[in-house]
Amino acid sequence: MAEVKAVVEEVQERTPEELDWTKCDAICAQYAGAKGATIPVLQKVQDAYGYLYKELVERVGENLNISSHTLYGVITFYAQFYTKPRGKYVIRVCRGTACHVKGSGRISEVVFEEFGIRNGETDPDKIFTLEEVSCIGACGMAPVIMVNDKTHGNLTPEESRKIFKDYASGKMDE
Amino acid sequence: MVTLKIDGIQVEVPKDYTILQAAEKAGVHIPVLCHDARLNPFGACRVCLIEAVGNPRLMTACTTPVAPDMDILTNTEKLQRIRKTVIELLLVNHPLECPVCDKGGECTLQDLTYEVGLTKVRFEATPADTPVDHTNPFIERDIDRCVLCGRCVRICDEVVNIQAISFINRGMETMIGTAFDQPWNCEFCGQCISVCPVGSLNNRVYLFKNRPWNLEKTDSICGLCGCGCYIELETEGNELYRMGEVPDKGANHGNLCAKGRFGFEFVNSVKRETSAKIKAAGEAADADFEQAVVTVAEKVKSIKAQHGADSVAVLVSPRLTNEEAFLANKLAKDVIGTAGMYAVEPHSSFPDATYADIETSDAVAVLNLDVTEANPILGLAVRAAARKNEAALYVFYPSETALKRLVTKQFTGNPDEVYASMTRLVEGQGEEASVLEVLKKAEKPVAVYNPYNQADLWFVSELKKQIPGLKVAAARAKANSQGVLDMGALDAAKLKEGIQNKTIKALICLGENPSVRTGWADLSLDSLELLAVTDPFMSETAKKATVYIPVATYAEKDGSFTNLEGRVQSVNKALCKGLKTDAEVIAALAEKLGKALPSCSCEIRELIRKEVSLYKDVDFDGGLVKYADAVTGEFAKPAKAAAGEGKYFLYPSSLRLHSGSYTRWSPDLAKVYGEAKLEISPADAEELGLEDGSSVSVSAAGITKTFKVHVEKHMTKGCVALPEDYADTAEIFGKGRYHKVSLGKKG
Ligand code: SF4
Ligand code: SF4
Ligand code: SF4
Ligand code: FES
Ligand code: FES
Repeated sequence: MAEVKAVVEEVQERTPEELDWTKCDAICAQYAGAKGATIPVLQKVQDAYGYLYKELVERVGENLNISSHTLYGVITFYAQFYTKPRGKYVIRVCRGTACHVKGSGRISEVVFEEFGIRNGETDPDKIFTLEEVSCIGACGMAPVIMVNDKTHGNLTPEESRKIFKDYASGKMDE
Repeated sequence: MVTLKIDGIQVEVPKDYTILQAAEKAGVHIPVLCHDARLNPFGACRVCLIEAVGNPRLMTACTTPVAPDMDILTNTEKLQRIRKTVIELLLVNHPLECPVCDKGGECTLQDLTYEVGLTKVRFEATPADTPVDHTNPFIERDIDRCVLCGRCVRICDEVVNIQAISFINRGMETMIGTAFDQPWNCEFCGQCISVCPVGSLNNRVYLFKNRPWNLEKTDSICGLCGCGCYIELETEGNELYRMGEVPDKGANHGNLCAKGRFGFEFVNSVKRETSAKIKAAGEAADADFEQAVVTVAEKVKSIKAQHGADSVAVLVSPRLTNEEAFLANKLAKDVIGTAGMYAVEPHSSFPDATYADIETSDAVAVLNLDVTEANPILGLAVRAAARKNEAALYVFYPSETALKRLVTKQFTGNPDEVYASMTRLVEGQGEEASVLEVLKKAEKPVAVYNPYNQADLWFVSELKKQIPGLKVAAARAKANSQGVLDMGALDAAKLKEGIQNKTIKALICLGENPSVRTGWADLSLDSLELLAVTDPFMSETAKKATVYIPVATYAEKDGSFTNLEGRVQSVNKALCKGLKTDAEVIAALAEKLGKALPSCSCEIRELIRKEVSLYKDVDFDGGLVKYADAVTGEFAKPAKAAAGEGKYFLYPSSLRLHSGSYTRWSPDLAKVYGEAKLEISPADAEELGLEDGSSVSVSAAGITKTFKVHVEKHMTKGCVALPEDYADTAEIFGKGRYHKVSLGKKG
């Protein structure tokens, strides 16, 4: 079978680790022949590789006998899957009504001022990813942000700036 | 069976029918948008809403199954109002560009808007303005016009099984697209275009060339491969503009392949010859038809007088119609006085399994054939068996094929290994023994094979012996490969011998292009005193002709083709380019040789009924010919597949974009695949320092040819493949269809 391509595709540079399929193949093998395996496989593969990039999705598709296009349809349907690299820290800024009224928009601005990223973006050093989300159910502490699993509430923009800087310098890891 | 009422009309339908199907039976029209009879019920658009008396909930007719005593109303005032709103909402985001949209005049959304009487949209229109995607050579994509009916995604998955596109994102952002927005690369069958109800996916070969209401439609059969697809030729005057599908007619259910749908441009090609040519002292000069025929007749007469009737031979192309082949045989036998015409087609295989047999099979073995490439619609039947019928599917082929996603098991490896694996299959040994068991136990087992590999017939006939219920399908290559045999074509090996030992002095070659055919390319035609060639194009063989006569293509003549199922179907003339048909050439030549033959296809058809017993009672509009045996002859167990001394196994690959040498005159196909390329695995390519597009020399038994490289991840290491029907590749395959060759990097 010749895969005759009418349109040339761009090839992206990948590191050898990114193209090492050992983990991917092992995860897929666990689900060989199982029905409804798509979502759990994608979750595990995402955990193992950080995010779902083209070559990785193609590899999963080869293993599961599903086209990468169909998989991409699933990936883009669910908010839990990422097709772009993610930072070490994911900052979720709540943009729900209560937080909005209390000025959470300013917190997003602080993130942009400090790291140059907008909603959905990751800084070049892959430290932070900004995600604007709707109500996270802590309206009493509005405005609220989450950094990975940690919640920070009742923030002023300047307080948030300090928190971000602490994360950036590694202070929060202790 | 279930009885119910639709708008007061009582109907009785099978219990798995939907309300929509019941309404069709009752003759009641329910508008639809996302529904397509070839696809699973989806229920996305809500256009088909109906009411059941006594049930306050509205239902979608296309997805709701019938129930006894339902009383369905399809056109109440409430439904009219709702339908109007549904369409109105679709128009909020849909750019109203009807005057410049290629779909204008055959757009379901346009028709529905008219049907529901919508004249004004109450909401503010907010269509997006996304640039139109022109990157694909066959499919134009304007996502703003998309109504998200999902027909394209579903047909590409459910029928074609390529899954080249998908719904991307969710909610308001949903659109049809590819993974990571990469370029749209796929089989290019165009099924998605054919089901798109709006102008979101458009046929680029036809784009902006005409308007649908100007086009006249002629039902016919595609002339490009042995599948025999029912097709509609859409013409204005004597230009062919588009190939249309006819879902409710023919064995292909309206599905076509890339070359059938997009490859018709050779018919309109300005490179077609218009004048006959006669060669004198090595120079070809234009001549009129009469002159050309007289020249051939005179030469035939004098050669025959000098060397006897058997020094003249007639060779027909498997693209001639049954009627033309029948006539050619008469020319060879009755007029010239030889044993009969020849065709370069294998003689041991006959049609057996039909598409319906394959689609409903529960176990399919594909033997040494890349079926979706070689015969795309036969390939769809195999896919349907695996997909819809959940058949066990086994594929034996050197590389992975596009069936990979559907196979129960595939047996890949170099050709020797594939042969060994097929041997274990028929002998019931090793891992393959279980496959044999499955085939034996199946209710309707089917094997699909390549009749052009003589060695493969042993496997087929052995399997047939062991599994009496097994039906087999021979993947015949050309539109009338089977028909020319039925009309009496003899094995061309005799002809080849005659040319080699110079007992044949005159060859009348009707449409055949031996210079690119495997086993013929290295045969010198120089010793012939007369080489008369008919062909729509100045083919490789036509260039060597003493007399050349340009002729009509399948779009320009009446007649019939017999497909690989043994189905006889009528070919109808859709246009005229002012050229003679082969039948007319034969009749004119016969006349000059002193015998009258009819050239009208109806008259010839009557003669066929009288003289060809197989065709005595057959219906020329889709009837099946009944053959006594599927394979005839005794076959030896093949030893090693490949001869030769080289390091790499070479085997012939199939190309779904081309069929013989005709389609290379179609610019859009040629743009995507032009010259023959050598397929090689990434590992071998790396070892040899080759990459896509670099040049490589291929040597076999003393000849060396140079090709461009196509690195193909599905190729098995140690194997390379080349397509057939190219002059250079035919010469190499002349040394054996499976051959061990040496490769060398060039430049
Ligand atoms: S052209 Fe055929 S293979 Fe390609 S997307 Fe359309 S339906 Fe699928
Ligand atoms: S592109 Fe056409 S067929 Fe596909 S979902 Fe959109 S409207 Fe339907
Ligand atoms: S499968 Fe064959 S007959 Fe059908 S459209 Fe393609 S070339 Fe024509
Ligand atoms: S709105 Fe921010 S937590 Fe509810
Ligand atoms: S046609 Fe029934 S929901 Fe679209």
